[in-house]
Amino acid sequence: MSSRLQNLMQKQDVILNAICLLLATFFFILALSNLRWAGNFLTIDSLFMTAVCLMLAGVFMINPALWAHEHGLFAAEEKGAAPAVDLHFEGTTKLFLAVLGGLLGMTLVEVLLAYFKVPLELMLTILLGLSIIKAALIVAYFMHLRFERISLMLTLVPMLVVCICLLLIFFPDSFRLNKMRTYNQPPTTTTHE
Amino acid sequence: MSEAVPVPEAHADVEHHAAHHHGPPTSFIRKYIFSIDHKVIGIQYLLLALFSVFVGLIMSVLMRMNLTWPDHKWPLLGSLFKVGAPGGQMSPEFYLSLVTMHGTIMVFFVLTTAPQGGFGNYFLPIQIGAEDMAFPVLNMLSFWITFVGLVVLVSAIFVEGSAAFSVSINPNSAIAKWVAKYLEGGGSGTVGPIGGWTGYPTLSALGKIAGPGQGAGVTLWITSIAIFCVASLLGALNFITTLLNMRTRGMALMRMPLTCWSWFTTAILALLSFPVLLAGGILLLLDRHAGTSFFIPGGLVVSDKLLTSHAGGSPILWQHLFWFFGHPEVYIAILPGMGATSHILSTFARKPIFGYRAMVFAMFAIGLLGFFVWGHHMFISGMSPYSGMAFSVLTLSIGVPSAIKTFNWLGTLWGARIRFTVPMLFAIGFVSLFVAGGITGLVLGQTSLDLSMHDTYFVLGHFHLVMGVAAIFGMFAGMYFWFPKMFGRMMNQTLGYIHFWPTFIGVYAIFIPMHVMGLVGMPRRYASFAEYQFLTKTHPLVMLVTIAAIITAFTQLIFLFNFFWSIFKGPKASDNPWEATTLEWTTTTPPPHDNFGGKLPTVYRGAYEFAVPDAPDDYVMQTTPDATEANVAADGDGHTGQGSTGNGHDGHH
Amino acid sequence: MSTHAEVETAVTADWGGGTLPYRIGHKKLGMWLFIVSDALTFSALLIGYSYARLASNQWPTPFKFSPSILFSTTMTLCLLSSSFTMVMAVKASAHGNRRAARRWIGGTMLGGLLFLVLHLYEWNHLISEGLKPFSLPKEWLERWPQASPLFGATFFAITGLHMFHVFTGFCYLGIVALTIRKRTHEDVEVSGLYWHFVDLVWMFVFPMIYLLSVDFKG
Repeated sequence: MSSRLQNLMQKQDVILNAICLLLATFFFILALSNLRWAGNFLTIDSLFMTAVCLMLAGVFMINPALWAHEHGLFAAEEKGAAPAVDLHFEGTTKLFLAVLGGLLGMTLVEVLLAYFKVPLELMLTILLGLSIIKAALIVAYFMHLRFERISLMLTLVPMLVVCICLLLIFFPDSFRLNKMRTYNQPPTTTTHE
Repeated sequence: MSEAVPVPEAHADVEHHAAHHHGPPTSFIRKYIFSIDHKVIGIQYLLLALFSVFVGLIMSVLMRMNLTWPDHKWPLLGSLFKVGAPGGQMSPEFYLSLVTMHGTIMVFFVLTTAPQGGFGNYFLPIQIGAEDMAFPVLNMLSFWITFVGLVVLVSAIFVEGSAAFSVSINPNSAIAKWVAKYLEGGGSGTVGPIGGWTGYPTLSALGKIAGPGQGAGVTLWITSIAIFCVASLLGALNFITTLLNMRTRGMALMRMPLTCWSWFTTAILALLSFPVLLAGGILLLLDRHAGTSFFIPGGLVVSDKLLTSHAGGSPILWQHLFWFFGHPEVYIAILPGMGATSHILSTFARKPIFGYRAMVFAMFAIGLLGFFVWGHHMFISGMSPYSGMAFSVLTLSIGVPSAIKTFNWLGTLWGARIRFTVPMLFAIGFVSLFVAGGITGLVLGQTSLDLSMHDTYFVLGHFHLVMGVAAIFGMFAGMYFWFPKMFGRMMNQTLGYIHFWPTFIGVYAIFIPMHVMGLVGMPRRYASFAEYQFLTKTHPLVMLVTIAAIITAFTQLIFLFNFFWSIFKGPKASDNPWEATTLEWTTTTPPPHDNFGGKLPTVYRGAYEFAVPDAPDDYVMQTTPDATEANVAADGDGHTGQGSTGNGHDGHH
Repeated sequence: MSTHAEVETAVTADWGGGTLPYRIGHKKLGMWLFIVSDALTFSALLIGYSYARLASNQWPTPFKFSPSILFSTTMTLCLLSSSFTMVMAVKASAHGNRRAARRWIGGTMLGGLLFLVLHLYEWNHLISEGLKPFSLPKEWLERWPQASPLFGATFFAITGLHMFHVFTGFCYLGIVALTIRKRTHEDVEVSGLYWHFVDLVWMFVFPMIYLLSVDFKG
């Protein structure tokens, strides 16, 4: 391969990545601004638009991320001969105690927060946010995923996250349902005599 | 970073793989019944599916006969099912229970079981060069759990009431009482569950009060589905682990046969979709037996009675949970067929598969998109129309990877010197059926059109062609193709041709007229159309479909005969009768207990190297080293192939 | 472009076959996949719960500080501590110290047992108050006249399934602890993964079921 061709290909790579990055940023900003504009976070439109924008941003990030990976930006640790099964166990008692402390602290914060009178949506967001952080800590340190190869994380986490996000599509219907219910009206008996 | 303690590592590695060096079992039970050999389990799955498919087939013929001759009395039927068909004439409930059982048996115990559990179990480890599955015992468990699921499902047909069921044991024993309580709601005088294979609440969640056919049978039906969920889930994680961890030296991901890719994708789909159905099934069982109302809204009037005990639920939640599983399930059924078709087309076209990479990515795209589109089953369910729009667009986008696959199949056939063997005919039939059935998917995927076509025979024709018959053709192709490897004998070619042509023409004759009936407006799941004036003109079509169905069903007896006759009397097969390239053809026929006689093969090339210039034959096996590598490999005892770049690999030898 | 070539060889070394691509054994990978799948079951249930809650006009918020919140917080602490002891057991086992591993697993099981006992006590309390899977207590209905009867259903279904998982994990750990001499390090690690997963699920069940239904008056 001539050096000119290589140059050209590199240029193409850079242009493609720039476009992708631009689009990804655009969609990310769109998602964020949508969150702001929508006012109420937990609505059909808001959730749908945010999810779609974030997903698109993610899709456009794939190429730059792959490119960066190929150029060794994320791959610094993966050198050297690797054994068939990694048996080394990283993490000290101190680290685990610190994680435990963090988890307990966050739990207490959650319990305290529950006694503040804030709107349900906000409360849900904060509690779930804290819970996700806690779950991430458990997965990363207690379940040791932090010390496994990154490929394992890349295999397991995306499929779970995508599926859970997809399950969120149920919610528009529950909002509709709430509006469609006829409360306070005792159902009229329609026995056909 | 990767600082390893050397001694325990080697130790663990040996122990780790020691589990797979189990010798061949000697006792009959360990060898043929509770075997942990993936090959035996694969054949067990296939036999289970063969049994199920004939049960389902008989049911479909019965349904057709009832639709065509609604007033005729069938004495045999009357004596077999005294309650369901009094005097030999089917009751509508009996018809509906046939619909339910046909659907459930076919979808779960044929389309999910045979391509994945059967062929996948048998050939995935061999094609990637492994000795067995990663968890042989778990593999055995998944088969037997599936078997229990089938038994429970079939028993649902015969449950006519809790009384009949518990009397047969011992009415006073605690077990009988518990069973009677569990089956509470039986005794409705019908033959089985009538909820359809989707088991939509509210009726399926209410129990006996919902009328005949919603009693004990539905309970058993849900139990069976839940059992099946567990079995497939265990199977799926076994498949994924095997494929990721146990590929032999040099079997890079992009060298795997497309069949392996399809089983892999299918396993991922199963792993992620079955748990959701399991959750739904648990909730539905709670609704029926714990009095909860997850899926039951308030103010429901059933059988002229107002229900006051339930309120607050939503049947749409079940539809979401069910179809979140249900749509990936469609791809669980069809993807292995696609894999087998690609494999067989390439082999008998004697050409490399056209666009291997594109095929792999298209397969994954189909799998991924398969998760995004479940809502297109719910366009008229009262789902948010906003979601409907998104689901519609996503549904249509599945056409893209499907078209890529079709074009690649055609590209493989283009200009090839095709060997028209029986498996090849079935593979080409698969392509034809997949296209014919898939095209109407684009019609149904649009919300506006689906509004009028939903729940008509159009839908029936569509999904039977694309996921039913096409998948069955994939299985037939696989069976004719791999039969010599599995049983050591060839199937009869002539009988195969005689089997193929009536089947191929027959399924078109059955399902194409159904599209027309659907456009006329014939609704699904009706036991009789005698009262509907506007449908009288379709009667010749109904008759045609029924006759075609009966002929096609009888044609399958040829296959059955060919299958069992060839096991014992077919001509002996050589190790590689089709001149194929993949690993299963490098070992003896049938393969030994550990697949490769103790020495795992090393792979040097991709799976579809046909028509290679300068090669002695027109194909090159995956294990044939390159000219340059051959010298190296000769003295290195297979330790110098791809993938042996200095990393430890002690376990396999 | 030397890095490119290096990455390529690294990828081949991992994915070229004949090796374990994640450098973890079959059992561990299998357990991870099982966890993904089981996590989806719980997600579906929790989302079903949220669906029911959002779809209803009124949702009771009956959990008083004592005993419900106090108990559930204590249960959370139990599970988290047992997760810690479990990770210590895995650590001990990695260093080849099986006796210590067994002791730590024993501690973990103690935490799990405490969780189960407290949880059953709490269930018992709620049931005696009149909460059933299909109906709410009378006092609650007076306070929340339009409350959805699904409260009990979701509560018992989700916590029940979680309790079942804790119980299974308890038995599983028991078996591992009893037969620890025959077990490899991987077996201990895999049982640890399962236990942490049970803990992880509770991290979502606790705030969503309990903390979002706190009774401010209590």
